[in-house]
Order: sequence, then structure tokens, then C-alpha cells
Amino acid sequence: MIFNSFDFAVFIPIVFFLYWYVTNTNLKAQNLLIVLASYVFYGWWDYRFLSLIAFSSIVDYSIGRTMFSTEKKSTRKLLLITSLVVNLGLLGFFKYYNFFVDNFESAFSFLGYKFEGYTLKIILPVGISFYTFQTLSYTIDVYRKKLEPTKDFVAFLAFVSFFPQLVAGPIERATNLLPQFFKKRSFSYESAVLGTRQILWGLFKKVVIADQCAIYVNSIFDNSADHGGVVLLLGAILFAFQIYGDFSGYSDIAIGVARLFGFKLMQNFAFPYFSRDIAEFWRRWHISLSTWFRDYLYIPLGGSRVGPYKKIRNTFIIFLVSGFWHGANWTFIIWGGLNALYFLPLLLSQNNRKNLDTVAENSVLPNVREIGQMLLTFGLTIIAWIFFRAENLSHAFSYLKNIFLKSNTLEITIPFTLYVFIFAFLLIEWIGRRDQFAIEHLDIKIGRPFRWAFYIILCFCIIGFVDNQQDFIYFQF
Amino acid sequence: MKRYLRDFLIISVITLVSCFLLSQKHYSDDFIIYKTIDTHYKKVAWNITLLNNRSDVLNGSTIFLGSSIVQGGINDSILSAAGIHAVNMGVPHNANELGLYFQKRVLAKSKPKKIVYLKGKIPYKGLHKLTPLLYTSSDLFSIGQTANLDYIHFVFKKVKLTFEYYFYLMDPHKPSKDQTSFLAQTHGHVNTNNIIQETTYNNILTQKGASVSDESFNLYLNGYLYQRENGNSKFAQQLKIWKRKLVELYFGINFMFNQDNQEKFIEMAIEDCKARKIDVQKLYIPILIDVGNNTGYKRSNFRPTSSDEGIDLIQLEELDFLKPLDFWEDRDHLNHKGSAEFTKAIVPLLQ
Repeated sequence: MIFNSFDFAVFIPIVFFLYWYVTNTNLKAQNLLIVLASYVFYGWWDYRFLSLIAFSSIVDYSIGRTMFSTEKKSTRKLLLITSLVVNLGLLGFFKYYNFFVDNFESAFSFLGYKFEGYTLKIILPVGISFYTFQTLSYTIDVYRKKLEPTKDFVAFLAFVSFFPQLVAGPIERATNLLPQFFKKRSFSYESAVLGTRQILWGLFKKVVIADQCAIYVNSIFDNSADHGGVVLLLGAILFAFQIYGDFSGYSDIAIGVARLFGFKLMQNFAFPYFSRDIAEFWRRWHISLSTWFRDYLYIPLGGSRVGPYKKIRNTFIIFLVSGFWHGANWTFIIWGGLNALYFLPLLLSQNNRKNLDTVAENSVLPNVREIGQMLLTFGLTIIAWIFFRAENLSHAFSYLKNIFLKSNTLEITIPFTLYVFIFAFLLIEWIGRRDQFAIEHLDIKIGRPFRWAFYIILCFCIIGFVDNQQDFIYFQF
Repeated sequence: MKRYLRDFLIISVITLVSCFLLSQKHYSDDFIIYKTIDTHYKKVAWNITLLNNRSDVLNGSTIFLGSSIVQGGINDSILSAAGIHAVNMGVPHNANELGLYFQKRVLAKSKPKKIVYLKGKIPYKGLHKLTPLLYTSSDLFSIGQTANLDYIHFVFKKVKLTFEYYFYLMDPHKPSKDQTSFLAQTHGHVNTNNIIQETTYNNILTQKGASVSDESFNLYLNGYLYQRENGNSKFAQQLKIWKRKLVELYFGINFMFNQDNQEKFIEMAIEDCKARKIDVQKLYIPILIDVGNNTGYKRSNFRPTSSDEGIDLIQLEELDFLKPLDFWEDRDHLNHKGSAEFTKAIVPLLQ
């Protein structure tokens, strides 16, 4: 089930009603309802893969309990390894098996040997990368004794499968989300309004910005050999807006829906395109994944408190793994590597934590220097996005080459309205850049009549464009 | 909670009422031409240009209305050469409200001799993709549309189109889409010369059709829902079948599939012709399966409908002459060569 569908529009009021009117007096019943709703939500796409989520949940619940009951270091380590092997094994099989077989075949053939592996017709379960990382955070935190394992199996199932963020994040830490299943939740008008506002903004980003950009991005990337440099550059810029609108829109909807049920999820995007350098961009883009890698991979490797050689090594590891997490394709790995190359000069010159505040923190507009920094950072991300979007490496390189070398041949007509929407979107995001999401404090900024008129205009836009529905890009990861 | 639900309800109601008001907007012919001329539906632009600039050719003509099967299947220049002055106004993906729309506009400007509708368009069809461009929400109601899922979808689409229309009116530099040669052509027969391959042909003739057929109204056999839901899991398919049965139980089948409304539109068109004493007929144009020997493929365009009663049906009994593969563009459409043969064959039936 996807958020911008008729099915979800029917599903959510039913669950909302049952949650606040039927099960509201009993926390356990509310948690059970969340589990059932989450399994229906996921099973709507393919019920067979529910067994994977259930299996992961059972394994990590049991490992967490067993780990807690022993102080023996070797046993605890063995249990952690078991959890890692099971979870990453499933992820590896469903997501990376064919990639490795194909690449082994190519490598052997390059060396003059013949290797015939068996590729399988594997369907990638939606959201497997997200919930795998979420359950791993639980086991790792229990191992590190940062978290006491739960005895409540239903609450644990609810934590793993919590439907708002199950298929595309934010990837929640057990330390943040799990305790919320044990607190009594009461309905809050302010929180529900905030949640609804965030859902509305997320839908706008997805339906109006991302899906409209997608039409032209798909056309340009699919026929990139026929287009000239200007059109190709435009295609890459539109893809930057598409992927941001798509993914941050999903996160906004997820966080908003969770708020409706009394949960607070972590912020996943913080206006990344207003970043002044790549390090700031990565503090603002897909925050839940970046911090996951930071806490569970980068810091255990030594982080940046090591010598220059290890710093470089750690940076490459984290970015390459992050790229590979996105998909079993060399394009994602190169995308990760490119970001590492962008990041390294900042790290080595100790400038990676220079821009910790918000751009133009105390003024309405940025100064010339900040504009230049933002444009440069945006430009660098666009080059990287080409690899992210391309079908394969040769497509990416030819796309990149043609931007600079090819003169216009095939034109594309992009409606004036799309530019208007993108401009309005950027303007609103700029105004709200200090908040959790662009229209978070709309109630403070404008009075009720204008605020409601704004909501209605957003609804019009969403209603008008909902016809052109595209899948969320991050479902494939 | 009450306050939240109240606010939510107020905003929803204001939004829906405003949507309905925006959906009352009529668009100019210029805008309709602008929206369709560069698309698969450029025939709509041609029809409107003909109505505005050369409506005299419609007087005393036989007008053909229907889907792409008509658009590509009836060669009106051959008919005119054979002494039957004809205009092909078929438009891809026909739904009956589009036929009715063009009929109304034709009859407002001219007096044709005869109007011929395509027999057997698949009845589950909702509203045409272009209906929001041609009708307002109250116009659609006035021709018999009921409030159902298709209508809600229609209203939503009108909202976007209305905003787009205002942008169009404000834009002083409207992009020019020069299609004058297409718009100036005198006949409305449009198709391509693609020819299907033997492999595809054999595949179609041995195809068994959809496997899911347990719905009470048997829609899966038409392949429409089957195609749409084929990627879903069996569980999700089954849930959707139950959901449809539940909705059907309370709201009736017309709430979901617009079938009865589609019949109403064509019945209204027929009545209007009869009231004006204009001859009206239905014509069956074969699809590939009609000339093959496959019984497994369930799709058939020839379906009895209530609007068949009381009007003549033009139908060829013998279709063997259409068997050659190079007469077909795909499994539902004759190509240029095939339509020439078919048109010649129906000349005696039209006289």
C-alpha cells in the first residue's frame, strides 16, 4: 500500500478510528492493532514477505532476550554475529545475490576463466533495507548495553513493522522508537495538527514536485542519446528535485502519520539543498541512514579520530557502503565514491564541521558567498545524482559527457507551471528552513484564514496532480 | 479530538466544494486544441477544427463516431469516392460521452444524413481521459452521469485542468504547435501502416485470456482489471475482489465501473438523433480475434447492450478476407491496408 493511494486513504481513517476509539484505553491492544495494521499495510503489496519481517522480528527478539540473560562476552558476541548473519544474509540474498554472481562471471571471464553462476529470479521485498537496519540497531544497542531488551513481544513486533516508516524510513533507532510503545499515548490536538500539516506537505512534495519532475526526467534519461547538453543538464536538475521531493515527501508523510498515532519519529531531511558544503549536505540528507552508518560503522572503525590514512579509509568505507545499500549496481557504488571524494578535502582540512548552523540564520536572504557555496554544493550533488539515476555506468558517463559536448538536437517542452511549482516550493522551503519541515510553524507565522486557504491550495494541487502516480523511488532500496 | 475532527471536516468540505466549483469551468476550443494537438488524441483537435471551420462538409454526410477502431478502421475518403459522403470523427479510447459530445456539436451546426456508432465497445469503460477537457461537472450530470468513483476522479482532474487553463490564458507567449497540415486534411481516417508479426499473431490466437474469473460480474474476463492488478499478490487480488463485492453490495456496480452510465450516454445520443429524424446505426468493426479460430481468448467486442434495441446494425458476416496479417496493426486495429479492404466491403451496407 502506498501513501498516495485510494487504498491508503481508506485504510488510515479505519486504523485511526480503531486506535483512538476502540483500543485507546489499553496500551497492549493499541500495540497489537499497530502490528495488525502494519502487516495488512505491508501484505497489501505481497503477503508472502510478511514471513521475512516476522522471521527477523523473532530472531532479534530472541537474541536480545538471550543476550541480556548472559554476561559471558563470547556468548554475547556470538549472538550478535548470529543476528548480523541472519539479517544481512537475508538482505544479501534478496538484494545482492544476482549482482555478485554477475560480477563474478565478468571478473572470471576477464581473467580468461569461465564461471557460470546461477542467477535467480528474485523479487526484492519492499523496504527490506530499512527494516533490516532498524532491527540491527536493536541487537547492536542491546549488545552495547545501551538498551535493555524488551519482554513484550507484541511491542517488539510493532517496533519492527511500524507501518508509517516500515518501507522507506526514517530508519528508527530502537533507543528512540521502542520506548514509545510502552508509554501511554493520549490524543493531542497540537500533535495531530502538526502531523496532518506534515502529511499535507509531504504529499505536495511527492505528488506535485517529484511526480511531475519524474515525467520529464524519465523522458530525458530514457532518451539521453538524443538530447543536447542543456536538456541533459535540465534533466539532472529536475532529478535532484524529484528525488528530494519523493524521498523527503515520503519521510514527511511517515512522520506525520506517526504523529497522528502519538509517536515521534526522527527528522530525516533538513533542507539539504540549502547546504553550503558536502559535509553539511550529508548532515541534512537521509539523516536516519547517515547517522546509522556513523554510529554503527564509522565510529567503530575509529571515525575521524585516527590518522590521515585511516580517515581516508573510513570515509571511503562509509560512503561506498552507503552507495551499495541503495542498490546492487555499480552506479550506486560510484555515487557513494564520488561523495567520498567530495567530502575528503573538507575532512582532511578539518573544515567538515564548519557549517553547523542554518544558512542565513539571522537574515532573510543569504549573502553572495553563501549563494555561491549553495550553488556549488548543489552542482556537485547533481553530478553525483546522474550516477544514481543512470541505468548503468556507461549510461552515466555518456550522459555526463554529452552535457558538456553535445549540442541540442531533440528538444523537450516542460510546462511553465512546473517551474512555478518548483519556485514556490523552494521559496516555502527557504522560509521554513529553520524548522523540522517547511510549514511546521505555519500557525505562528500566519493567521487561521490564510493558513486554511494555504491548506486548501495545497489540497487542490495534490488533487489535481494525483492522477500521475509514480512509485516512491526509495521503495526499491 | 472533536476539535481536530471538526477542523479536518471543515477544510475537507471547503476543499471539495471549491473543487466542484472549479470543475464548472468551460474551456475554449483553442485550449482543447492546444491540449490535444501534440498527443495521441490529436483527432479531437481535428474534429473541433472541422466543426469550427468547415462544418458545411457535415451536411448530408454519414458521420462515424467511436474509438480508435473507428478512427483507423473506416476510410472516409474511400467511402466518399464511392458516393457515400462520409466523415470519420472517431477518437482513440472512445467512451460514449465523447461520441455524444461530438454529436451534439455536429447537430448544433449541421444536419448530417446519418450517424454511425461503433458497436460493441467494451462496456466496463469508465469516463474517457479527455472528458474533463470537454465537459463541466454539471454538463456531465445533465447527460446522465451519476456520482461515482469515475465522477470523483473527473472532478479532481478538472481542478488541475482549470488551473492550467488560467495559466494558459495568462501566458502571452503560448507555444505554437504547428500542425496545420494535419488539421487541414479533409478526411478523418488516421492510422499507421504498422503490420503485426506472425509470432505475435500466433501468440494472440493461442492466448487463453485472464485466469481470474471468479467475480460475479466477470470483469476479469475482459482483461481490464486483470491487467491492472496482475502484478498484485493473490492475497491482494482477493482482497480487492472482496472490496469490490462489498462496494457493489451497497452502492451497485455503477459506482465503480460506470457501465450503466455509458449505456445512458449512447441511448441519449440515439434518442436525440431520432428526435431530429436523423438516421442512426451501429457498425461492428472486427478485431483480430474475429478472423482467427481461437476460442481460448475470451475478449470479444461484440456484446449485446440495451442500446442495440431499435437501431440497425451494420455487420459483415464473412470476414475471411481480413485474415492476412498485413491487414492488421495490432490485435484490435486494422491498419491502413486492412481498413481500405474493410471500408470497400461495407459500402453496399451503407447505401
